[in-house]
Amino acid sequence: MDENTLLKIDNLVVKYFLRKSTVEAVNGVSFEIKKGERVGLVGETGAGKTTTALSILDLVSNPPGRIVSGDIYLNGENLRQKSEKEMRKIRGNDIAMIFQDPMTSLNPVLTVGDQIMEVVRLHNNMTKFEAMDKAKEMLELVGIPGERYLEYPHQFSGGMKQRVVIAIALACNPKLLIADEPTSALDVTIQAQVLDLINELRNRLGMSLLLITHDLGVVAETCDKVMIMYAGHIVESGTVDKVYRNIMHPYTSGLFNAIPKLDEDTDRLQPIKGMMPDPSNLPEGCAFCDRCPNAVEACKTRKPELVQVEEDHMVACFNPIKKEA
Amino acid sequence: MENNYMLSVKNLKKYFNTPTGVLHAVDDVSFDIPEGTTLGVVGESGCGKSTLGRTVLHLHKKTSGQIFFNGKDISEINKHEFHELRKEMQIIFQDPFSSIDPRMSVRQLIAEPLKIFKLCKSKEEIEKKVKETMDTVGLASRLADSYAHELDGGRRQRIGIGRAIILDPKFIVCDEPVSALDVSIQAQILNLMQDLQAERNLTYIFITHNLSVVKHISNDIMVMYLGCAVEKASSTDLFKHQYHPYTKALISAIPRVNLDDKSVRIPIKGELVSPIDPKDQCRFAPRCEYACDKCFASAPTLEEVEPGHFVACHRVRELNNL
Repeated sequence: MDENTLLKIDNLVVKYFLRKSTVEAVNGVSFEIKKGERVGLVGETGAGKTTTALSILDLVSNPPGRIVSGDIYLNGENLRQKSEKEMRKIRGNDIAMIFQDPMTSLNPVLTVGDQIMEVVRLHNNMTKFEAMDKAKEMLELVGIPGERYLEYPHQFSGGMKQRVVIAIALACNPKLLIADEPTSALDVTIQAQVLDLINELRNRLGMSLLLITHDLGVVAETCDKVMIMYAGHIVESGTVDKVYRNIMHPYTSGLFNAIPKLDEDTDRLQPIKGMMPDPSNLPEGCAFCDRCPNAVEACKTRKPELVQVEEDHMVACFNPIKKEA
Repeated sequence: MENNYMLSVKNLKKYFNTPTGVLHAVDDVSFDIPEGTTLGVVGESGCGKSTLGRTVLHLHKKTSGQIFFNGKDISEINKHEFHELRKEMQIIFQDPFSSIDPRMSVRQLIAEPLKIFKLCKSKEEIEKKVKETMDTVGLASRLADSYAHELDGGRRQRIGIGRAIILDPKFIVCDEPVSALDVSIQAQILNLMQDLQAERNLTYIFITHNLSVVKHISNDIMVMYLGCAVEKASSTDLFKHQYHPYTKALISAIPRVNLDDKSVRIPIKGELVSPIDPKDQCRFAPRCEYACDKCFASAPTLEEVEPGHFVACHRVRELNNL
């Protein structure tokens, strides 16, 4: 494996086994994140973005969920062969995760200082006082005055709470930060502040970032690479520059057309027709087939593989959109 | 009072009494909406945009100010009279997951307004109207006996729209109707709302924090900050040039999809200050990089800096060379 590769996911399959049906949440996802790289994972509700992220940390709730097959390597070590005890050491220390809603991911009855100290003391051999200093230092790092470490989450605004969550996530200097919709619950100006903060800290601390979002604009402004996910498959991936300038998968194109543009005036939006297929009853061929304007005969019976179409650009489609000459 | 305005609001105020003081949720807001058009109200959480929408509909009792609907002063009418007006003024709520009774079927949900207003004489008539409305909002008739939990967000929001339009209202307050939806579904709902407006000459107040959506759907836009309107203009004008420092920062903060759009983000320092017992000063002054002594001494009022473009800022002319 390449020395620069931090995380490698190989053919990951995750299913949720329910009483009456089996939900196929992630169906053969493979990707790599290099050291210091910022990767955006984009898709709509139910595309399998969060399940992919949770699998990396082995946090898929079991039952009903289970990683059926696939391997996850961090720095060349297979995380799937680790015991629960070993995984506990990795979580928060090597890989940290920020969840969507800062209001619910903090404990309301502990001070924010205690919550940062908890993760610091869990992973490092530190005295209480050392940990307290570390907690203050982390708060300062995310732009909150250190003396507020004795305050409780309800005394902070939404943006500040998300900063506290980031401070907790970064307290042990993780190599990979997974941010699951970190700004979706925040207002635009606060979102801008938080994204700037994540970006600045990443540059300073040199970690890799997996940013999960449904906002193509957020990815354009924060990421180097992008992966578009649909019904448990990655349908298009590559560098942001290549993908955004040369959209090839009809689903990606549909997503771009459905958002109202700031710099153009359109009378009507172009929604993607139809609905996402039921994940417990996926079609035999391409999952996007029924909604796809470009569908051909082969789409109904065979699943397209992710293939390279140009340097740093991969698409899973039998009839991709051709760039107009 | 000119007659071509569907809704006119003059100096509307809504204060809430809280244990720590008086919260100024909506402070002296005025606007007019011509019939068949959309006023977009944008602002961040806590700026009073939802309170404004609800106060207009008498869902909150206003503190002071006047509301004219279709040329008629409705600010002082009693509960009974307003009940009649509800047929003409409706609301669509944000969250299609919590605004719908989980124990009612789609058919019952959409028929409920008809029953409340006793508008239909027979069961057949109700059935017919429900079917028509379901067609209009794009719900397949096979879903009539489904319950909300069986449906996805987009379909639930269609139920919400169906409930609002079945009484044939003239005016609808749309309170963040697409915020809970995915982009591809959001586009379907926005198109539906535009079609309904064109067919029925509806007037909307469209409340949202999503600036791209508001630009797309509105004729006029009002930007609110801590209970006050800070800038008001037609949608095209506002996105062409913004004059208020807050509007500038707000629009610059939208993440751009276009990689060639190199517009610089204008940061706003700090966070919202408390709307409880605000001082007589510009509400944005503590966060504004251009704030001067005057901004802390008195609150600016909306003035017309260009035809149809209103800004509430003491230094607007000086800063924008107007």
